[in-house]
Amino acid sequence: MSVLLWMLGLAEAAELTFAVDAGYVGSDVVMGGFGASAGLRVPITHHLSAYGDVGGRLFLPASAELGLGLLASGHIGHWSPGVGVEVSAFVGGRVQRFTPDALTLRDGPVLSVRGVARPLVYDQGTWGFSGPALALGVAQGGGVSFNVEMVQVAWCFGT
Amino acid sequence: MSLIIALLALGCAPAPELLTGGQLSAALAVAAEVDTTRLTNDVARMVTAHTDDPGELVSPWDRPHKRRAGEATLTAAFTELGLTVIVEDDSDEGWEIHNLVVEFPGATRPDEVVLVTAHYDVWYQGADDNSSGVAVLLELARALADKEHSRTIRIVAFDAEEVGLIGSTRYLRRHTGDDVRLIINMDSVGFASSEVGSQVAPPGFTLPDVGDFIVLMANDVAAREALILGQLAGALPEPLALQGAVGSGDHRSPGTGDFHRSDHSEAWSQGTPGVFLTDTTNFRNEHYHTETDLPDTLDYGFLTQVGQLVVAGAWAIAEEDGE
Repeated sequence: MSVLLWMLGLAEAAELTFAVDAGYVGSDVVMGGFGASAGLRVPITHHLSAYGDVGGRLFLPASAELGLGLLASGHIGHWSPGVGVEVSAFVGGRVQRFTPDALTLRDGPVLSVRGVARPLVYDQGTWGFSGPALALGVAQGGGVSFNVEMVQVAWCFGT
Repeated sequence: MSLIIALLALGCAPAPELLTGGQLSAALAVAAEVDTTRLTNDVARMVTAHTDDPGELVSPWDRPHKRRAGEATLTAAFTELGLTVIVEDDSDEGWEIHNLVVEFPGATRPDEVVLVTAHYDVWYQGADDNSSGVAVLLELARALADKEHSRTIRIVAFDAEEVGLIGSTRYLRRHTGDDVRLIINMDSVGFASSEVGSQVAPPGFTLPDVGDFIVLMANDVAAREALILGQLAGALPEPLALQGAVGSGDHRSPGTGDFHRSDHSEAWSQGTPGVFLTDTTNFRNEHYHTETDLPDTLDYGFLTQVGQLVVAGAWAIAEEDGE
């Protein structure tokens, strides 16, 4: 929460984002699916921004994802391709795995650390959109974690 | 950062209490009565019944009457043990449905039920699917015949699983008022392979590539019982390799659709605690739903381990203290 307050209070400008995406985390905990997310992105420097978002997923089984990240961007005209890193927490329905040698179930959120590639970001000033983007990394307890974002739209407010 | 630390702390919930040493020993003592030769003979007997059924060997969709030979043979097998078989007739104009029930009343908590189930209808001869599960039901009946336990253990052999879970759905909808503490459902529990590459995983999941383990799936209200069965699997005289999965069971989705492919599905939909044991059928067994699903394709040592797990698990849940 403190991070979000910082983002809201100290940033000179921020973007409100909405995305349609698909996420997955496994393998000792399997959760994910298709969904949508909403978030905030604030600039720290001309080339670096921080973001936070909350998403919902359906189908494998229903779950939610909270993400915090940093994105470094270049600027070529209206295009701003970027790479970054993010930490995400999956909560809600999931399939949890166990064996006789490891008789434990993870009741709380499952954390992931992922690298982010956002190659197709178009910035018109007050609005923008991002094409397909990929976040790929590792999940708490082992296994792969990824998020494929089909499209994101952003609305800029502030100065 | 504080948010991340809080999330990490939430992920470290205390583990549920499993069986004590005494409870474990008692359950394993009952499971020691499971006999490989009897399992082998019972699979052969059920397969013979399905094979000898009049007519051409085709799917149950084409020959619904085929299920009656399995019913007669299984009823005779229970009767030979001195047990009374209740035939619950859930027939309608579309399907003749006979679910077979054998009950072992609990001594102190008879209204609380541990349900152990397998379907007796088959495609073709059906050695793995599901004479293997039926053979374990018979071994459980033999093990319970001369013993007293706290909760009721009810064995139900379901009819018409292969044509859409009809028998189990009708049974469970008729018995919604029962206080079922756990349903242990078996479907295809006798096929194993030591070959690398013999196991395929359902989409979205990872499994070892050697198909020498049993898969246990549970809905989230049976999470503790699932871990108890995992504990028992590891404590068997010859430990049984087990891959366990616990998830919410009140939905059907592309990712978890395979979890619902047997007779526990209606119980999960009702929110009843349930575990499902399977060798994963078509993800491992090339004979699945074919004319070659025959007794000599099964691994009877593996089936014995599964039988021990089911007997020990039913006993442990029937005997434990609980609300």
